[in-house]
Amino acid sequence: MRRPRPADGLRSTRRSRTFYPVDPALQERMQATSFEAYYIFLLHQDLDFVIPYTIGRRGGPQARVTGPDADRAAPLIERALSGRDWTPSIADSVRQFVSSTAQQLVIGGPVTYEIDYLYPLAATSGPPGEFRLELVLPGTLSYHGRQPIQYIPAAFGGPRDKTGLTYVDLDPATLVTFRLNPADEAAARRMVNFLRAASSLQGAELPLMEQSTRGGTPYSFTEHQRERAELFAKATEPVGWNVRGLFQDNLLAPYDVWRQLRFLEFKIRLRNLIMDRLNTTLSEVGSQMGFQAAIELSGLPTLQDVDDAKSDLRSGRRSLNDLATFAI
Amino acid sequence: MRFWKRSDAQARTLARASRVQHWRQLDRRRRRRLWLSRAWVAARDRTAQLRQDGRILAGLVGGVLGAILGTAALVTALEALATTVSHVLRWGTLFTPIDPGSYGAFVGVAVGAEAAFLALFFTTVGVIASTAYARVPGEIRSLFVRERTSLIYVWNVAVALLVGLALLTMPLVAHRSPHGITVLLFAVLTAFSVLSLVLLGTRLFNFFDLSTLSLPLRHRFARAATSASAGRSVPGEAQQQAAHDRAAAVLRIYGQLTDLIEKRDVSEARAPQRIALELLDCWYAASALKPTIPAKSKWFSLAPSHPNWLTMDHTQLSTALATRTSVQPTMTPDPLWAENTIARYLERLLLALSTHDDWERAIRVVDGATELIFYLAARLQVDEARLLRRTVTSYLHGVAAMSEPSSGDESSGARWEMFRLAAADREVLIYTRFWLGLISAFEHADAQRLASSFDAAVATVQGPYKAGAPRKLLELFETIAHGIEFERTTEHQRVTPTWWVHHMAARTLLQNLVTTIRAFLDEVRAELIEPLIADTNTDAALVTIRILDSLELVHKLTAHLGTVHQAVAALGALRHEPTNDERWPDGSLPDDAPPLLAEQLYLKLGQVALQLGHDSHDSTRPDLFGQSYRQLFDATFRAILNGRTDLARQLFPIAIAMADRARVRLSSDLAAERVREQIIFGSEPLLDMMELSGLALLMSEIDAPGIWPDVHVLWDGIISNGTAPALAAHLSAVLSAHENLFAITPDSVGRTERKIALARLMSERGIVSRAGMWGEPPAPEPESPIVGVFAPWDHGIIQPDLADLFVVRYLKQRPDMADLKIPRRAEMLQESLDHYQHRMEQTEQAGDPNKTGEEA
Repeated sequence: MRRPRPADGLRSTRRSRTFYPVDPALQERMQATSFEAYYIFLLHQDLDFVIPYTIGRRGGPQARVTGPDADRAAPLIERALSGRDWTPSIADSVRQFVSSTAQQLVIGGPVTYEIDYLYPLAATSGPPGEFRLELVLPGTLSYHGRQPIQYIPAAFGGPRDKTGLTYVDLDPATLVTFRLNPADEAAARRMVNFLRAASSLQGAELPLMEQSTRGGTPYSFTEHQRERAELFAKATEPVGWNVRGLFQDNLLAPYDVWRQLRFLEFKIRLRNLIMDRLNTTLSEVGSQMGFQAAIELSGLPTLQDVDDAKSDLRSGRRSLNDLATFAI
Repeated sequence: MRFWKRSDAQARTLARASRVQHWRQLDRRRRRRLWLSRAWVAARDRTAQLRQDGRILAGLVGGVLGAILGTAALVTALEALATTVSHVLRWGTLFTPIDPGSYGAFVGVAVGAEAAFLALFFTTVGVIASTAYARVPGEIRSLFVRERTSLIYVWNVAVALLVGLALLTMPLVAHRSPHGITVLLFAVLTAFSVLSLVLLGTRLFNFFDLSTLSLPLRHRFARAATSASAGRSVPGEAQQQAAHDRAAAVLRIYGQLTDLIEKRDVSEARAPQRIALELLDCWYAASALKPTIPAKSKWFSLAPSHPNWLTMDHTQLSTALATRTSVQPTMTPDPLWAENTIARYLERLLLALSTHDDWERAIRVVDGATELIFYLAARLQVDEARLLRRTVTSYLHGVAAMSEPSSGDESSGARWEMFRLAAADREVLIYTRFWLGLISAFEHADAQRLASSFDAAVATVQGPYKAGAPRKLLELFETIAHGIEFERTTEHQRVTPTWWVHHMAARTLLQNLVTTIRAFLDEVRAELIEPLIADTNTDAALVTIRILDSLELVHKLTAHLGTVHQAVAALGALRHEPTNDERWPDGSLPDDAPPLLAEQLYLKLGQVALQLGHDSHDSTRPDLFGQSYRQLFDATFRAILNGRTDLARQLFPIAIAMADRARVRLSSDLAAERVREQIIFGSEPLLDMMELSGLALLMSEIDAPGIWPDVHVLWDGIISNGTAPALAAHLSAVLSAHENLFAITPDSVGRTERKIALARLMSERGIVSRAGMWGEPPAPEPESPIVGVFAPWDHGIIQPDLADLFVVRYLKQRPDMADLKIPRRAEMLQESLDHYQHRMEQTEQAGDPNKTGEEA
């Protein structure tokens, strides 16, 4: 169990907790959003590239804080996003935050952060000196009526609800929720459910092959693989993920590139969504702390670029290799 | 408790596929389909048999009906006559109605007769079976016993017998008399049996020839192949398997028939010819339907293909590593399963055909195979065409090398010789037809048309089977069509763009084309030309036929490589340039190979042609000597003209020697003709010698040193001191004679064409006559008077003759020929040369500032 420690000499307004799920009931709730399944983990890894690692490097895309109070706000935002006192750059903080949020958003559903305002210990009034965006652990957030709560291990102590789980009330004014639009959300849930099911069946072909070798069953690995390829392709179609190219049956080279472009498109949509919500949050925080600033990304592929690439694919203006390189 | 639902249909399907019950169910379904497909194929065969029965029955009914109607007419006439004369003539009961009870006796006798027919039939069948079919496999005997015509006959007799028995037993068992119509039916059946026996009896004896049984087999094979091919829908695995089983059974029977024919004590060519031609029909049917059969169809035999552990896909590899097991080989189709079987049988049948008297049948089969090779190559079924070509050429090569079987009489020896010559001819012709077939596939290749055919081939999953594509391309089309279908299923749209389809299909086809062309040229060299060059066979005629045919082939190779270049360009137009595809095949073709092959062949022809007999022409045999002479003369002329000095140097003495022999032969060929014809045609070879020598001299002046020094030495040898004046005078006289003749002979036309070719070459080199021209010439005048005089006018005409040049510059220059009387045209040439020489000297002196005016 970990309880975030506020920076020295600061008082935290945070109510949520970060912990390892040791209680079985809590563990089961959180498992629904975990990455511990083979195909889910692969997807989780691939979503890490919503913003490339080259951001902030020379010649690569850039992230910067803009606005009238950019200079003052920049170190605050950097620290807020990273949760640490020191970060290499704003670019790395943003990349880390966006990627992590995107992973949670696709695999676990809506992601909620709690804005943790940090006040000087001595101060009884006035604006907060720092702030943090603390993740409310996926699967632990719930509502009692309109009151948001977080389920926490019993060891923390506190009230219990009718399920017997201990919880803590959260302040709705400090919660920031990132969520996909309803259609995307439904599609993502279907895909993730399928991937979990597929992961649980991972290795099911081994006994079948064994029986087949002994002559007991008419099992055909090739046919099974073909069937799985089709199911995976259908299930991952909403986001365009190609399951790392594990299923190549009936997959033509242009379609493979198309899927990569679609997945890039999905990642850009995620990035835009997260960045919009993040900037809105910064605006809210800024009004509390007295700054006006936002984060601006540049040099990253846009939806227009993807549309152009799709058009190039159709017309043949660019080679598949070029397009695949662009999509990575 | 689960927070994620497995209620999705896709997840459910995935889970189901991981259960053993799913695979058992699939297997049951597959077996059920296989059973149904087999039943369907059998039912189709049965329907076809019934149609055949119908045709046989119609024939029988026609014949029998004619007899019945005739008989009925006769009986009616007799009845009418009896009624009419019954009032006048009273001869017992002859013209009065009789008691119907007497039919009983008739029926009894007829039934006995029917039984006798049946016994007779089976006795005949038994005799044939115990002799011709005593040692045949069960399937062949079954074919005989179930022969359709016989079956109809047996059934007819049996039914008649049963009706007769019913008529006899009815009054006893049913206590009632039969109606008249039943008696009539019995009578008709009995009559039918009697007449059928007459019609069918003789045909039964045809079955002493086992091959007659094979007639329905090829149709059965074709039906099986049709069943495996895609029509409106793509056949399922079960249907493909059933079709394969049926076709394999047919081929097995053909194999048994081949065994039986091979083991016969008395060799007879009709049966093997029939079987061989039917097998070629089967091959043709399989070939025509092959592009419509899915590439991985169960129609093909399956052979294990072991995976590469270093490039295996992750899932397969991880499974194998996790279970410490080996990876099972996948079963891949053998596309030549039927063709290999047929080729094996053909090999044996062709040997059985090689008899003294019936060799024409063997050649007919070879010609059939040659045409099939053309079609196979035209469909780009190159492996199939190559297999058949190798089977047949191996046989033909054996025949050419085979010594005459001991027979005794002289005429059979001549026939055997003709067989060997025909075999040698076909041995090369097969390659020529292969090449022409291959080229025909690419004639009029057009990028736009190719592109639209590629588009159509991948538009639907049935599309690939309508394209008539060769195997590799078919596989690609199948992959793309299924990929596009997959895209439509998953994305609800087609993603793969047309440019990619064009690029991939053009790449595959180009690879196929270029590889095939290169391989074919290598095969021509390795299998045909090199063995021919190395052949030390003493039979000059045999080698000459092969060389002459090979020259034709090489000429066609050269001519049609242009078509291939056009096809390469058309396919290249479909290449997607931005892709910069490293796997795009190199489209270069071995254009330099055919001329080199031709050169080798001419040299070999030069060696062999001198061994050919040059007796009077016999129109019953090919004129190999004459053809060889013409070819060699033409080749020598072109070698000198094109500056291929080595080849020209080797061919020239042979051409001269051949010309001399041609002169001798012509003197006997034309002995019966008028003197004028004898002079015109008989002296042509001498003109050829002088023309060729004149050309050698001229070309040595243009491209020194050329072969003139060698030609000079050769003529010095020919014109020895003793014969010189006479031979020279003869040569000069020939020229004079032709100078005064106003006859356009084929050879004179040929000489004109050769002069045009020479003029073209000189014009291309800028050697053009300036006589009568205004302005500055395009190039300086040649220094050599010979070149200057022969320089063509601007419209490509050379005035003097090469033969005259030889007379003027060689014969007349010899010290022992001072008194030689030369023709007027040669004199004019001499004057022109002298004039040119003089003019050039004057020009030189006038233009040289170092020379004094006096010298000038």
